[in-house]
Amino acid sequence: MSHLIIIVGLLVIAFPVWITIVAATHDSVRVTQVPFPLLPGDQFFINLKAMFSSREEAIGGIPVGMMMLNSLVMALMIATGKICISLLSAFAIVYFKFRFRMFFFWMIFVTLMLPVEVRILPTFEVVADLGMLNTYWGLTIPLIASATATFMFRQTFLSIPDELLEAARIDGAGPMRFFFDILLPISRTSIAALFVILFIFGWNQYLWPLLITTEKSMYTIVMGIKSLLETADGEPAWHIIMMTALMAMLPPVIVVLCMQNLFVKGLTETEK
Amino acid sequence: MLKRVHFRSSWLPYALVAPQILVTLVFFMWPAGQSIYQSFLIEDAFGFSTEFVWFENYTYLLTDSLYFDTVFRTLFFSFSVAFLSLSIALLLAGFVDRIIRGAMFYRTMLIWPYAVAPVIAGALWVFMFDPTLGILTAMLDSFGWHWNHRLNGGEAMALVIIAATWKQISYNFLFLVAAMQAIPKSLIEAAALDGAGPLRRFRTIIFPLIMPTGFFLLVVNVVYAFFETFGIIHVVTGGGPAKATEILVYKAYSDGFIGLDLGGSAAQSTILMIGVVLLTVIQFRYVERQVDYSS
Amino acid sequence: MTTLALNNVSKSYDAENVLSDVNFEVADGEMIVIVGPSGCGKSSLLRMVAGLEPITAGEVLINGQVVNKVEPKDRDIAMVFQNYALYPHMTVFANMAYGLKLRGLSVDAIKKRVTETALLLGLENLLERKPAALSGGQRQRVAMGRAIVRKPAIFLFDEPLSNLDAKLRVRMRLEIKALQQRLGVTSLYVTHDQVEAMTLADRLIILNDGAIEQIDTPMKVYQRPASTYVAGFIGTPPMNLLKCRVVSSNKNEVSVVHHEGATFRLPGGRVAKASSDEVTVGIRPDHLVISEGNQAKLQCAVQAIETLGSETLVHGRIAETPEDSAPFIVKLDGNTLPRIGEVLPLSYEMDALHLFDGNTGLRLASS
Repeated sequence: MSHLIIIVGLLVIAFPVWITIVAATHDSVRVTQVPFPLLPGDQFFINLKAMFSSREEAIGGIPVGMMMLNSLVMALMIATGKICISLLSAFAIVYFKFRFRMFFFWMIFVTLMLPVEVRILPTFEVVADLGMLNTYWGLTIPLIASATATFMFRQTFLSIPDELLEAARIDGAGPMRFFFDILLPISRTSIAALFVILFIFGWNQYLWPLLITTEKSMYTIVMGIKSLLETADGEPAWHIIMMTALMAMLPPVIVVLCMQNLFVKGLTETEK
Repeated sequence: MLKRVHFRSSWLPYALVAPQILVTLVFFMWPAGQSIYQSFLIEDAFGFSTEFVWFENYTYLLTDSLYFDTVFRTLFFSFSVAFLSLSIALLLAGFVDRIIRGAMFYRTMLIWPYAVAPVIAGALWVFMFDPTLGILTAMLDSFGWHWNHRLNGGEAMALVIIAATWKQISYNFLFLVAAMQAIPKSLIEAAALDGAGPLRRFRTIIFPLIMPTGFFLLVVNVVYAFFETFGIIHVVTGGGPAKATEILVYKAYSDGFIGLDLGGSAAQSTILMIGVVLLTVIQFRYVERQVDYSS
Repeated sequence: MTTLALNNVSKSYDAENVLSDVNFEVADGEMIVIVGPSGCGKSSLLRMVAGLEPITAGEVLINGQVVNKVEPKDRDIAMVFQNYALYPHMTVFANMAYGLKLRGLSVDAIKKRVTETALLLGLENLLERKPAALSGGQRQRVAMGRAIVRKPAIFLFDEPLSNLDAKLRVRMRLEIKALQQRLGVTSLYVTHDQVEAMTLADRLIILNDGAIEQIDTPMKVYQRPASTYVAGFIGTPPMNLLKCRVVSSNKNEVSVVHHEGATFRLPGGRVAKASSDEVTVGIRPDHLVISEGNQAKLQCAVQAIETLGSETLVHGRIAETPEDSAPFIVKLDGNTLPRIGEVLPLSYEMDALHLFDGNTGLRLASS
């Protein structure tokens, strides 16, 4: 009984993705015919090839390979950047006593309250003034300040016994040596968990790349979907769009499924 | 908060926080300040002249019935998404918690939609509800319901709510299952010995004990629906038809970037910022209280 | 040759005084144990010697050099922590080698030193393991190894045995003692456990509320506690301390002091030193015997009995005193089993009586 209800739930939740797969494996004619097929067709590799090769008509002239590469670079840069600067600031805040410590702490906290969506225009202007439009730096740097990551690392560091620092100091380790030799290796599961979450966060960025990129060579796959849907001449090429959607959701979904435990750990810990 | 022993260094800690603080200043503080400053200005359509008008943008907004329509629409949208996704997640979590074999497998199968970008989620649903060839439209058609979210505002709202809910179920499910599994088994067994059936146990033991998580999730869900659903709305309806799905974030974006009403958009952003501050304060107040309980 | 000295060392956190005016010296190769209840400041003291905490006032000298401003790594010390503080991500070998590596020793030299130390401690088969795969006793040994391998001038121990179970604690205690004597390293050892303190120390420091109560060899501390605090802290079961009033006092004669229900006769010279007629008389439970005939100097009403096999502990109070008067403990041999409610006639030698000033709590000595 329990299993039955859960399985029904699973099917309902998986249904949209099933339809995507079905659409991605038929040709353009079959996809637009009513009734819509419920089983996958045999056009998967043809569509895949078409998606990667076709330039102009079908997908608005943006090479999908390029968009996926852009997405990958953006996701990796955001995840790495956030982790690096958060690790450093959490280290400073937990292990040093210095003037304005609490002031900096609150300043980082405030970033929680300023999502991109509410400061979109002025942030865009800053990036434009710095000449970072249509660059990877412009895509990523404005997003890498992170209160949640900083708080999570702070929590991790606070749970490490003080004696470890004392032992390291007696052993002759300076601050940065302690950071690299002791702190980083001990925090590696936290780092990995956070990386999973931030990779997904980075990959799925939409509004920001939409504003920052005007050249098609900088488009990411997630925002590429939108321009595919807006193809000028009439009906969108659904089989290609759905194939592209599949490509856009595949990397983060694979990351979640393969690194499930890290993902769950990251998700629950950043929310504390 | 701080270690008992510290490193002594006059410059190092500043160097360590510098990158984070620099990014925060340049891309958070300065734009937020700009946004507030701009909300006091009116710029003509060509950008030739600007005028400092104090709260005119605000008074205009707050007397504009269209703006209030947007506010209520946003609230309706957000709470619908929060309510639906929490209810479905609760149902699934309640059943997954009861079973022993395969719980891990079900969890795996239920959490992946979290990884799907909102825009992609929107694209999937818009495809299934496409007025001419969508599979679900065809089904509804056979019941005599001619679905067309491009013309019918209510149907458009329903569609964005469905898409936003679909994506959020996994998140809620994950936290609810974790909360349920944190309840000591002995408690459930004691209730069972007292003669409480499964439904009663859920209502009188499990549900009250996961209420804190539920409240936390409610706040998170509302924040999600307020801000992160931008992509869904942008791709599914573009705010239409006739602004039927235009929520606050979307309005601030389209007034600013498309309507070029910079002052008005900035005033909307400022009001949104105040909203986020309030929500964050509620969330942290609440988290603090939770910490107090445990100690 | 390594000596350690503390001159007028004080420590305060914000406005709170943790240690005041601590003075002592540790001779080369000597093992000094600092003992006191938790919160008495003993750990702060150790950490100031290690350089992990700033010194509020006074000086710490190692080999006659003031080291107040010297970094921990440059003080030539090694420390064993209560929770061992092993680096969890490193193997036993790497844990021991880390300090040597940072000091720039060659790979070969490190390997030689670590192997030697591992042999000394019986860790040679565990070198590739991580701390999580070790038992409590093994971790403790690795922590010792990490300290020894550096060949420091001074060992600092911060309650190193308190995380072990009772049986292992006794064994490790003996091992530490043997090791310290063999290596002859000047050591400072902090504990709250008085048995540990008594068995390990060359000299004991009893710390109470941030001030030193007594510094002496374990035997002296036991035989001649400097204050009621030390008398009550060292020795199991603790010394019986009875508040008394001086009845008659004369320098040259035997004086009499009185406690409800009991009278003690003491050398007059000692009693005369009291600052008022309030004094405290102490007698160890071990120094009381059941008296034959009517020689009894004291009557004890038995309230509870603990039979430990080799000995019997009698808990009661002095006969004919109110219910809530001071508890009185007598240690008898294991074959004597009094009944509850019985009144035991007890006697003792006059030498066994300790006398303390009623106001200051300090010992009143005879000479």
